[in-house]
Amino acid sequence: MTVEGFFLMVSSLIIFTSFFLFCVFKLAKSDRE
Amino acid sequence: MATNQWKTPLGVALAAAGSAIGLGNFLRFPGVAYNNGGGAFIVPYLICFFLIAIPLSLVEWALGKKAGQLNQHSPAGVLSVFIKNRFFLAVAGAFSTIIPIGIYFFYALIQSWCLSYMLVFLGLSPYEIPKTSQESIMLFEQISKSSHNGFSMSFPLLSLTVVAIANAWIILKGLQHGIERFCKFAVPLMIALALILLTRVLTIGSVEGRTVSDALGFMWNPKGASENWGDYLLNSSVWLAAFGQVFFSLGTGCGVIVVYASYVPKNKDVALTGLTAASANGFVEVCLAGLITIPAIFLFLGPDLEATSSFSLGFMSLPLVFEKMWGLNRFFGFLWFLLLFLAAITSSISIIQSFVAFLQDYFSLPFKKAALFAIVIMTAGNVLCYTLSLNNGLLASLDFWLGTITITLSSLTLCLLGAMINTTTLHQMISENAAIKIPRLLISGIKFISLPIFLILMLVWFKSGISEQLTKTFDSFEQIVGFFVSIGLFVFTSIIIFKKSK
Repeated sequence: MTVEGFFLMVSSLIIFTSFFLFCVFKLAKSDRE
Repeated sequence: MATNQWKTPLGVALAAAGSAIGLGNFLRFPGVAYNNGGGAFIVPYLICFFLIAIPLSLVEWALGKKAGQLNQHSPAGVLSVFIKNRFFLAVAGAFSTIIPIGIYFFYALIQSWCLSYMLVFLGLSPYEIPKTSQESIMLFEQISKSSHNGFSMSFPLLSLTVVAIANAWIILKGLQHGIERFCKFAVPLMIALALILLTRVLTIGSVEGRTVSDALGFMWNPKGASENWGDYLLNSSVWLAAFGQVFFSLGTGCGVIVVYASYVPKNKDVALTGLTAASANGFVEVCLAGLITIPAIFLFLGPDLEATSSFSLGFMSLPLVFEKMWGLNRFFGFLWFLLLFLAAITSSISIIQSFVAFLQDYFSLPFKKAALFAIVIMTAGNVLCYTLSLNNGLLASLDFWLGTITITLSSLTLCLLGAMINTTTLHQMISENAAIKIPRLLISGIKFISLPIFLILMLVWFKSGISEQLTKTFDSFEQIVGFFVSIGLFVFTSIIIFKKSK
């Protein structure tokens, strides 16, 4: 795996995972309220 | 709380995520990304996802919720609240109404293939697990009946019957007890299954000298890294592919999000719900499917990917991968097709619900009658696709006319509508009882960013790709039938909407 490939893969994983977790936790919190 | 409304925000978010997460995430995305620059593809994908699809999806949620309060739940009914010209309403309403109807005609068939493959891996079918490429192609031909036309009592018909009954059962249970309850367990289960399969792929070590790192590089390395992979970002076809994938996958303009949004109670949020559904879709597509499908095929079958279409990846190559997974091969094969089956069923039920809402809005039918009527018509469409199955020509034709052309036109209508509504009004609609603050800039971006990018990409598409695609769509009898079915649906639906609108 090249450095560029690694960078693109990891940054995509970070962006989509954090976006998803942020929304899920926020929704779970508002659901409880 | 009324039973024709969602019970909880989490429930509606999971139902909407289930609707968006479908076969396109697991099969279409990896192939499209691989063919369009690998890791380089993710740059236009991210721009389309966040700058065009997310704002448009929020517009759909806002319009749907507003129309739901006026007791309009179908895609055309939602548009009727905002479009007053009968002619434009008939055209735009017909676009968003026929997409789910026509797509379901063939989607249930693909869902039945997933069920058939599940049974193959459980050893509960007349077929054997394929061991060679030739056997894999033969199995696909038998299950999809793609080598001949005709209606015959066979194993694929049994699978289709089971699928039709399962979909009908969930729909007839109603919104809260059917769709919401089913998606509450199916979507988390889908993500769990994908994580199990991902763990399996990433912990395999090496197969015939090919390591996991090589496999991830095969998918994610920008193609042409030795030269200048930035060239991909200047290539219009890569942008078109990214744009098509994001819209296909999120279901923007498909006439499903507005329907789900219309059942959200007035005092509940749609902003965070819409973002959660979109983020779940992006997470499954990029973080799970992007690491499973093509890396697994590379590890077990080597770098000679002959074809990267959705069907060849999912139904021909991956069964061979699972056959080669030592030890629990049947188990992992079963899990993979269970995952696809769940992804398909959560999308199918949202498609049927859209048609049910249309029958309720435009024929004032009670829910049960509308649901039964919708199921009968859609099952008739399934039987047509099952009968005219040669080379999956009818399926491909419906996918082209409704899943590509009509979706693009419907999304454009939505984008224009979003741009025409006053930004402050739109922002207020989205922010009503919202659990998250949506920046006003994101909404005004529809006028100044989303619409211009959309129009430029459409111009490029019309100029470069569409004429070539159009010439390939009348090659066979099945494709011609697909064209006339699509046109017939459009004409019939637009007349109904025109006549019934005041």
